[in-house]
Amino acid sequence: MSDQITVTDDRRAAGVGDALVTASGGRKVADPGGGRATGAAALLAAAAVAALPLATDYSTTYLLAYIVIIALLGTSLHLLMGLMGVFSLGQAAMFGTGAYVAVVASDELALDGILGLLLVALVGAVLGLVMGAVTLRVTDLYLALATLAVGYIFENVVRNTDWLGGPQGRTGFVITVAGRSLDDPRLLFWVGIVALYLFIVIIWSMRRSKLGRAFMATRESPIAARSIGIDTRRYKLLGFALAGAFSGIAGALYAAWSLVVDPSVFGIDLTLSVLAIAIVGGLRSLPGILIVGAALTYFRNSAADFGAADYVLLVYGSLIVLSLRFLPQGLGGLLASTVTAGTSRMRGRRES
Amino acid sequence: MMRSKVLASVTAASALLLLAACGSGDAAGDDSGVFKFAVVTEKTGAYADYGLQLEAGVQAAVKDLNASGDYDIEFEPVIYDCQSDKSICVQHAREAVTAEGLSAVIGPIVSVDILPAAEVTERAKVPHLVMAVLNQITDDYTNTFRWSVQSDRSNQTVVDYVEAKMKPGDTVAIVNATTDFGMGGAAQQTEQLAAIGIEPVASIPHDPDQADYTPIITELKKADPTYVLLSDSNPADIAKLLRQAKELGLKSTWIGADASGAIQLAGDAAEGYLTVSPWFPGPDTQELTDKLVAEGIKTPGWISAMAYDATLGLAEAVDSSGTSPEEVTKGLESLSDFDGLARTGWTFSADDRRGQTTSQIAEWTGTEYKIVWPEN
Amino acid sequence: MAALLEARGVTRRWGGLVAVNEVDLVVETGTLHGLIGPNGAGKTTLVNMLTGVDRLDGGTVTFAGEDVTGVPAHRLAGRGVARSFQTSQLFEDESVVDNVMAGRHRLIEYRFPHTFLTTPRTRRVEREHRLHVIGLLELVGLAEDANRRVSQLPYGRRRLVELARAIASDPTLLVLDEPAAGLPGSDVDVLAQVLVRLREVGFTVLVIEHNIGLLVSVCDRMTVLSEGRVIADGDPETVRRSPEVIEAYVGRTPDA
Ligand SMILES: Nc1ncnc2c1ncn2[C@@H]1O[C@H](COP(=O)(O)OP(=O)(O)OP(=O)(O)O)[C@@H](O)[C@H]1O
Ligand SMILES: [Mg+2]
Repeated sequence: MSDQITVTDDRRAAGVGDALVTASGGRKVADPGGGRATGAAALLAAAAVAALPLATDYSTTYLLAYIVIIALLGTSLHLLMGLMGVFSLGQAAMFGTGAYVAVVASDELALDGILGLLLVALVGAVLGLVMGAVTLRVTDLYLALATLAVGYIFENVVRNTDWLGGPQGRTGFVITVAGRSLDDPRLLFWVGIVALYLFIVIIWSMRRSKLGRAFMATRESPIAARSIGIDTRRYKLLGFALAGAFSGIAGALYAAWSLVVDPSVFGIDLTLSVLAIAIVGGLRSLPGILIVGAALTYFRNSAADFGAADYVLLVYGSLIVLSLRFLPQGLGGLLASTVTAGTSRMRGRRES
Repeated sequence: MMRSKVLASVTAASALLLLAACGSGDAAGDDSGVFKFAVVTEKTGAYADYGLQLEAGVQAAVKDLNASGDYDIEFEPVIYDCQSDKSICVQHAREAVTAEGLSAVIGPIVSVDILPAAEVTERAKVPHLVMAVLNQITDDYTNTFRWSVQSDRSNQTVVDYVEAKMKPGDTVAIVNATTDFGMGGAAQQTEQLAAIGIEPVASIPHDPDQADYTPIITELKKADPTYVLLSDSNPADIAKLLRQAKELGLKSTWIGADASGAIQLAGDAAEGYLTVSPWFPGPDTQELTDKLVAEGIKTPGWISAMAYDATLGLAEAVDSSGTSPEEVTKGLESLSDFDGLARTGWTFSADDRRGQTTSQIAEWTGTEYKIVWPEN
Repeated sequence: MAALLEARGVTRRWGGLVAVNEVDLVVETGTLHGLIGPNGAGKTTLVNMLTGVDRLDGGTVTFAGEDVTGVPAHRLAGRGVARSFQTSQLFEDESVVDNVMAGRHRLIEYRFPHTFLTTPRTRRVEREHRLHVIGLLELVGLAEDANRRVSQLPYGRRRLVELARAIASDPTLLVLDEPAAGLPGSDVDVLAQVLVRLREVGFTVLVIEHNIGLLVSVCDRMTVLSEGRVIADGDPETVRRSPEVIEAYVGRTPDA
């Protein structure tokens, strides 16, 4: 197996500790990077997903774009709740802000989406920073309520702001990227998938770096984290900023997707359905969230075809209850244990 | 650990692929001799009561059209349930006009769902028949056709009625919910009353979903108006207001919007309540009422009646001009003084997409609606 | 020898109780310094103040010649003060390696964009540190458990993880709060060896222990705290024999 690589290199970080840990040479180090084969498989799968719109019809491509938007939100929830352990319900505020900023950027400032989305990401990040800063001193339920309140406040402000369209919202805008309208579902999907892949790569990279460990340490024991030199506040702010930037982009893409932004983009419904996805998929498991996000969104939008439109909420609710009862780690936990069991069985066979 | 995550995400990607494969269903066949049109409506979810009425109206009309033998083409609605969720309404509107290439869309029923759907149909240049009352829709979307009476015209109808009935010494008060519907309605009525020189003796807003409205009734009793113009679309709230007004012995005549179920909830207290609506079920409209009941709607309302007329109008347009989106649009725009079963005199043009400019007012007698305006 | 850590008149009150009362403590560079005292003497409270975990009600703290009074824990850690906790503060859901890797936080530097994107450079740096951590685990006898989740380990092993995590940051000053508490005998031996080894290679260590025997055998110097005050300070043998210490420990059989 290639995830056990042998390091004979003697160069190491310098420090007092070097004298303590004497070089014994040829020590085995588990490389967290995973094997080359699995990396290639992941790349292949990513490429296959990106190529999907070439094979699907117009409205299915729109559905795929919507799934990508939900996946972006799910991924930011994974970062906040799964990796950082912050129970934030502020997704809707970030999402809604992104939607409105995108519309204003294209309508009022005549910005192309390339700049517009950067602006959205920036505003989202700043909003994330503010939410992080406001909630620095609170945790758990208080943090959830405080972040939730931000969404309510924004909804109310927007509802009463005439130049943002008031309660009816705004319509008739065209968001472009590189001069081409996001009315083209393929373009919308691809812009979304670029953002999603970037986000996933950042998160996976972080998880294997000191950043990921800093998030983990802050989540598991803030006191211990600080005592090993981790500025827990800084990392909390960083996580919120990242989540804000990408949730904002999700909102911007949603505006392009739904053709209308109105105060309902700040509503609790969206937060709750993404939360459901995150719980069923497993807060700590990005693959779990992505699979469940795709499946549930597809189910939700096609429920009528299965004759299940009346039972959507029932299905969501039951899935949450069932996974909390039988799969506390969500689908992701199940996947991980199956895969681990599978590989160790393979190893066992080889050794015998 | 990492390895398993990579593997799991490969699984995720494959699942996505699979889903997409399922999603790309086969497009509808293009058999000539059949005109297919989309009905995107809220069959389930919060607005299902309204959405099902819309569907019933269309179905009843299609049966009549195909049975009549007047047309050489067969009409077939393609029904989409948008689950009272505007994202799904957009999704289905797109499916209808792009994947399926349908030439006309009817529905959905509530404004928040119509707006995004209209964005889709406008971009695709497909005619869109709506039953909503919000002015903005036909103002902003040049592909929409309103098969109902828009709210400012309904409010004008109420003011016209009051103007005709007022005797010297009579007074008017306005009561409204602090919702978009309520506040918009109150503002319009205040303006329309001012235009005929009437100033309300009281103007009382209330928050929706209150348990107790007696403070409002008490205030009204002090002002003692002859007419109370009510802008509230919440059936439960209307019922509570009427019940508490009766208990406290308020003598005023209430005139309000048609909110389905309000009359039933109010019971005795609804007797004498004046409703403004484009259409009323009952003995005066027995034929259509029966057809709608046959579609499974217990108490048909204006939505199903308007949907019925809209479908007749769509057939007329197709018959006169053709089946492509441009032809259907042209056909609808040339409808003039077209008589449906619910209302007569439907008129559209490229500049005026409102269909009707007046509404009707009926009194609830305790057992049925009696139309009191316009007077024949 | 130069003083690495110098506390002067450090005080902490809990309501009416003065948990730490005008304490002076000097830890010299390169020494193994023991801090003992009966339960509730104020040892943890004192150490919490010295490491920035808790605030001071009075007094000053100097570290490596600089005034660090009131400097927060993460800054002090950045300057090389590491500690372990009396009550477990481990990252329960993570592997032993990852727990200890976290301890190297302040030493790992790969800069933007390598922090956000796994580049060859990130991999190389991570690998170097991981190698070091594995060596450290071998030293404390945790090599076999390297990839196990901390929450699955028996208590004694967990204490060693906490110790390894603190050492992993290559601290200038290492503060250990009762590292031997609850450790089975075999692990106490490992611990004693590690302490000796730490002193050999020149670490400065401040260690809290009830186990006087253990301390006397390895320490260069000892301070005794009782009811918030220093009652003895000096070389281990002298301290052990001082009447104040014997009195403070009356009725108490030394754990050794
Ligand atoms: N957060 C706190 N609030 C109130 N009192 C406290 C707090 N922490 C400690 N104390 C009190 O301060 C005194 C000193 O406690 P401390 O934990 O420092 O003692 P210790 O010497 O570490 O004891 P042990 O050997 O049991 O660990 C005790 O009386 C304790 O009850
Ligand atoms: Mg203690």
